[in-house]
Amino acid sequence: MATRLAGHVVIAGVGCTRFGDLVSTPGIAGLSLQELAAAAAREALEDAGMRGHDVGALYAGNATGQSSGLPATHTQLARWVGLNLKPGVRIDAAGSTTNVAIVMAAEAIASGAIDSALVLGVEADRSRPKGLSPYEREPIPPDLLRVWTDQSCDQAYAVPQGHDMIAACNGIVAQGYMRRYSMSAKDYDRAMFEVCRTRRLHGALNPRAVLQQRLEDEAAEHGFADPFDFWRSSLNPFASWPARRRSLATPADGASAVVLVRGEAARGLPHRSVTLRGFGTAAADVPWYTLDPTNWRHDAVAIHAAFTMAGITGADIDHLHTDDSSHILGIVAAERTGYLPYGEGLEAASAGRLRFDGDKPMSTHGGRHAFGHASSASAGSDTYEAVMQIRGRAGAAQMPSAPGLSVVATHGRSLISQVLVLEGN
Amino acid sequence: MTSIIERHYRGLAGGIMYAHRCTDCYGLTFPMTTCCDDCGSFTYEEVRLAGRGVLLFASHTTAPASHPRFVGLAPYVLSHVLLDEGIATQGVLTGVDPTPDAMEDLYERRDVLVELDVLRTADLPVIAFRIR
Repeated sequence: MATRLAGHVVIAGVGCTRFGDLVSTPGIAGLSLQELAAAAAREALEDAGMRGHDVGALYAGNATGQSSGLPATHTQLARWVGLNLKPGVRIDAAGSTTNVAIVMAAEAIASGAIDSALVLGVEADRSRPKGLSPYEREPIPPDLLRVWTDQSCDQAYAVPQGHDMIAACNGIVAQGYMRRYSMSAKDYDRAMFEVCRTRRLHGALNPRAVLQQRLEDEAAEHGFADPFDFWRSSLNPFASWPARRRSLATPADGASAVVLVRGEAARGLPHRSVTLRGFGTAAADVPWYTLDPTNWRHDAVAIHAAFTMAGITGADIDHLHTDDSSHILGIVAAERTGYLPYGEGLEAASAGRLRFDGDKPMSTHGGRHAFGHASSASAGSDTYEAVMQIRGRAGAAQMPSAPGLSVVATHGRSLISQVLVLEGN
Repeated sequence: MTSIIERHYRGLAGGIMYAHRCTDCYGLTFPMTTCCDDCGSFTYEEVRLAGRGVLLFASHTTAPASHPRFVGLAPYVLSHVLLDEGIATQGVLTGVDPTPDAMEDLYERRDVLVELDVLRTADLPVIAFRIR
């Protein structure tokens, strides 16, 4: 089996909207999902110095048709992003959608079939169409979102039999981590507070994040002098012991976009391009682990494939994004990449090393909790952040020394493990 | 023709867990599908599992339930179980309060043995476990 692309493919442009709620979040409230998608696409195309008609194909991602009303995502969005009459396809890999689409687009470019592609992910995890209206939206009732998003999981057995993503990806993984590294529940709770504190700091520094308030400020707003007291209070209950609510993703509406071109075209681009140096993808259905809930075999397969293609090890990574819809799972994945030593991820978080200005920066846009989780747009938001960090244009959370090499490891509903290795040119 | 999925649920209705044993590599696939989890072979034979195992981990869920079938049950306890045949699976754990304190107590215990306890919902018998 081939382990690398036949040609050189680069990211020429990136775009990402604010993640929030199309019903109420300033800056995006009132927009249709088509306009939200178009905003991300326009930013990416302008970043690449291109227009839609310059682009060879559209890879349009959406996971939840019930909330988007875009079941034929490619055909319904092409006119909104300037790719009318162009070939395209709808892609759904849940939270990995955009980055799986990047790989598919890169493969098409490397094959010679096309010279460039626009990858677009758009999702509404907070709002849905109001009745039959084509433009009015309303909040998604909380009992519906998980029913919809669980549709990507095993519908023959797991979901009908009471599978619960929050318990399976949070509480049980957390207990596995505690047991594997002989950690007390008390120490675990304190460390997860520190992980959240870092993510919320990153969100507070990012004007596109769904949560832009530091954890300390939220605690003070509720009258707590010590933010850890707030963390342990009834305002932050256990969602699945020992995982608390603020260790989980925050649903959002959002869109992200990436323009890819053949490497030979990179010379004329207006901004610094980023090479797709390696990638790996692997899928597995629930349960994802056997004896040890911290051992995710499809993560291992995807990471190995990506790192082999790129010719790197964990020691080469300067900047890492993992899917932290479950904060502990994000740490587990970081350790699996070799970026952090096994069993030392939480210690690194407590020491502030995972901050944007630390020596092991992670999830510098705030991750799925603070930046937000808009399923099919989320991986693209990570890639957006990685490209901006590499370019030295990541704003207030820019790493003091721009990374040369960034790894983005995402999960699609925990079923699709996807890894990109990105390198600045 | 009876589908494999229907066979699974009909088995549960009678208190039986079925699996497929691959006739090429002898690996067990549970729940049953059309091919072997280990080698991809499409040839298999049906076998009965003992319905017993050891509880590896368990945690509580939240309400609202993640599926309409469990609206009346949520919150409940989701268990991660290693069956005697070496298969890891997950299902509702009955007889344990879905509270953080109860989960911590359970976590501190080791080698908790469990057995099949079919949960009979309004429309479907589903896998659950109870402590032996």
